[in-house]
Amino acid sequence: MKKKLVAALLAAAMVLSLAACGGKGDGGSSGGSGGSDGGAPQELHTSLNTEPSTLDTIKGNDMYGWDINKNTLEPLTRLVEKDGEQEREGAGAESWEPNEDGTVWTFKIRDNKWSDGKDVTAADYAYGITRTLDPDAGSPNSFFTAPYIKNGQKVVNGEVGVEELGVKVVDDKTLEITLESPTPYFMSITDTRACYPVRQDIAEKYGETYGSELDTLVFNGPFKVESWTHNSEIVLVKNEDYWDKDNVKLDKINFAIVTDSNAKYNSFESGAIDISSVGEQEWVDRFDKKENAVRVDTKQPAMRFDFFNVNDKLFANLNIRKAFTLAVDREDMAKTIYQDLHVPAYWWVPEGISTGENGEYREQVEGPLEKMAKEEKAKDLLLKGMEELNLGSDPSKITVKYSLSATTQWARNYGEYVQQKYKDILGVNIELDFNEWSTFQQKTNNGEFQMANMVWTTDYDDPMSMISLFTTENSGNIPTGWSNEKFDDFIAQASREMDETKRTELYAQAEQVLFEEGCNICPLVNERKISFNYDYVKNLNERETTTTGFKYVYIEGK
Amino acid sequence: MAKFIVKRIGYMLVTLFIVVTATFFLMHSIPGDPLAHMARNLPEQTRANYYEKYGLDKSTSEQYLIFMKNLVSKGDLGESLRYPGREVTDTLLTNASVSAQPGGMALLVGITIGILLGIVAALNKNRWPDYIVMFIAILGITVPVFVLASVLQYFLSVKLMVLPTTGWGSWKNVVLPVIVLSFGTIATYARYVKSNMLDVMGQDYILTAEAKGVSKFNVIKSHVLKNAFLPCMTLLVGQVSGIFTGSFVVEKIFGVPGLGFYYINSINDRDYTMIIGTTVFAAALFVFVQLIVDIAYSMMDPRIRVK
Repeated sequence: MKKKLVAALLAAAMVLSLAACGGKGDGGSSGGSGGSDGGAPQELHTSLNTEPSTLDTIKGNDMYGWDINKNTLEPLTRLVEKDGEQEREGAGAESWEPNEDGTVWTFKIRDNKWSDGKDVTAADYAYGITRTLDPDAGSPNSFFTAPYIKNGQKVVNGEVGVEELGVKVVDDKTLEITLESPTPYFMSITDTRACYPVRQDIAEKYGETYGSELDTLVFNGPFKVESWTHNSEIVLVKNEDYWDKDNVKLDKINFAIVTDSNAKYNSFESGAIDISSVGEQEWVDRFDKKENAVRVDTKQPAMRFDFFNVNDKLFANLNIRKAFTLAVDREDMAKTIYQDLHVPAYWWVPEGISTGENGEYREQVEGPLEKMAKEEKAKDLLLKGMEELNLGSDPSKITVKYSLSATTQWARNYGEYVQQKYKDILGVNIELDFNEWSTFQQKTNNGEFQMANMVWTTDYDDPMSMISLFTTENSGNIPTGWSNEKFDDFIAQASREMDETKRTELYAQAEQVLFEEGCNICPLVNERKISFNYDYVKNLNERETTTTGFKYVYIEGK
Repeated sequence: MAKFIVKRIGYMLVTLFIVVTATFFLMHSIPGDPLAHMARNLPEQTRANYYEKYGLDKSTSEQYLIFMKNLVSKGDLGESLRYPGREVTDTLLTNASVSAQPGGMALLVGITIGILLGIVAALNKNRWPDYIVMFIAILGITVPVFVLASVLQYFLSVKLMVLPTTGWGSWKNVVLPVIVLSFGTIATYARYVKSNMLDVMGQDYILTAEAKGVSKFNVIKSHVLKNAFLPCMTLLVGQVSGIFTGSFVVEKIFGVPGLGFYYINSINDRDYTMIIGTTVFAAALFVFVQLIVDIAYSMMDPRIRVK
């Protein structure tokens, strides 16, 4: 009896799964007809690693708030994924147009509604952009737009008032943004938090508390927040007033706030959440074996790297810096330390970033370190550098302080690995210096370090976001103290170059100079993200820089 | 008695003042700033604007005066720097009331079971029930909370799927935290009650009672337990205030939106106002509960006189 029942169930399951397969072909890639699968509720369960600091796009700077913002507010544009390719589409803006020299951009604002029934106007976008730059707001996001929008930097510095800013509301549906100079990648900034719409009346009504609680917020994106239990859960529901609601399939998204990573994996394992990124190899192995779990490896536009203090006696020498950079066995590090979760990096501009329509930058430009590693030997460079500094020829007399920004067991293991490797390859001694992040930040900013380890994630989808960190002007970001006129010049040219191919070429040259003449950074690995989702979750974004959130996701065959 | 209470409240205020002042200057002396959670370096001017907005550009002593003025005149602990727009006081109260639910239940369960086990162990000294209880007690003290929590979560939530892994709102979410939190309490009380009972049972007045022909049950009930429980009151001080401040580890693993989270994270984030808030809260609770316990002591034990 029991056997028969099992057999019948199995047969039923097979029929059902076949039917689901059939549906995939016509529903999947077009992203359209997901709703035809009447059985599965269109509910997605996912998680955030920590509570968002705020849902205000002006004050909020963490990625958790960003995850909610992307789904509940409508930026001017969105970077959309279509058949594996990315394309910038109008979102809050229906269309846009630059003037002849590319300094004035006119956005036509789309008819859309806020969740309290009011129309979305150009003024909402203008307020969001302006307020972010207003020194009164103290926004941590001002750096996104300050260098580009006319008078942006001056407004942030408090030199001129916000009225002088190059943002103008022409009429309810027309927004005009004037730039300091032509900026070819300006559109890549239009979906950062610095260009999100903010309702002036609401923001002013709630003042400082705006964004801290659900009742202080209004929404105009594909979803709206239905409930927010601090440190526990955020629930989004479909926004029925959204202009593109026909393309939004999910009815509900549940973000559980789970700070413990094992608890998160357990939740995925038990099916309580449908998606989970995984950072530990043992869990990756376990989920790899899980039948209905789909693994997605994403190139992360993020670098793990060491950086040198160019003002330090030892690292003032270029050959020494090159020696330390070339001494790293990146393949071995990726394997031993990261179990191949991340990939060896011979470049500074990470994978996963594109130059406009030309696509992935790293597919067009070879990593400069690859060539360098073939031509020069780390040990020879070290000896040469030591000679130049009159340090003799015994590397074992050199001790370098290596600062880390964590005090965890992982950091300790990592530190020991670095220590061992430098001893083996260069014969130098490494003294490890473990810090909490805040302490680390202060030390490196004050130049109290020799060599330090850090991670940097890109801000917007253009190589400029990463490469411009080393111009003399921006040198405070990664405080190596390095400055180079030739490099600055390439970046300045690239920032004005409207031709994508020429601009890519300029980036490549700048990156070359960075390693040949600077070598103030030592890239280690390019991050990858491994995440798993159950196979009934369809149409998830595959690229990190895509900004559509869960807008096009649907559930099928659950 | 009234004089005693007034005097104690005076001491409490002095203690709190010292705690606030020491915490304030200590936390400002550690490197780093509240922008640190953004995990990156921001341009100089962005940082400066942020500092100015939150008054962090002023000198530490100036900030201290402003803080004290607001605290004394309005009872205002300020706004969190990490979670802009949220009042520290609100966060403390909301989260403490969440922590208190599993915490309070765990304390009740822990004390009840712990005392029962302690009595059983004491009455069966050096026999198998004693060994079993002491084995449990040793486990309870030595097994780290996070191990117990993870194991229970794995078996009950992932394998058997009878309870949710994380979350808050249903009674099911409280079960595992209560079990985990009460385990240590059970162990502590079992050992404490046992050793106190044995101590009391060796006293002369017990011998006297037995010599007078009082039944064993009555000796235990009226003489042994009453005297053995008194020292347990001291343990209570820490535990009662602990239920409101929550447990970082247990709350993290089971996703309980309690206060424990803020004790660790506010320091990592250099969320100055929240650090002070959580510290004042814990200190105030502690001295308050201690006062209550002291009063209770003097009422229950005539040997202790309030002077």
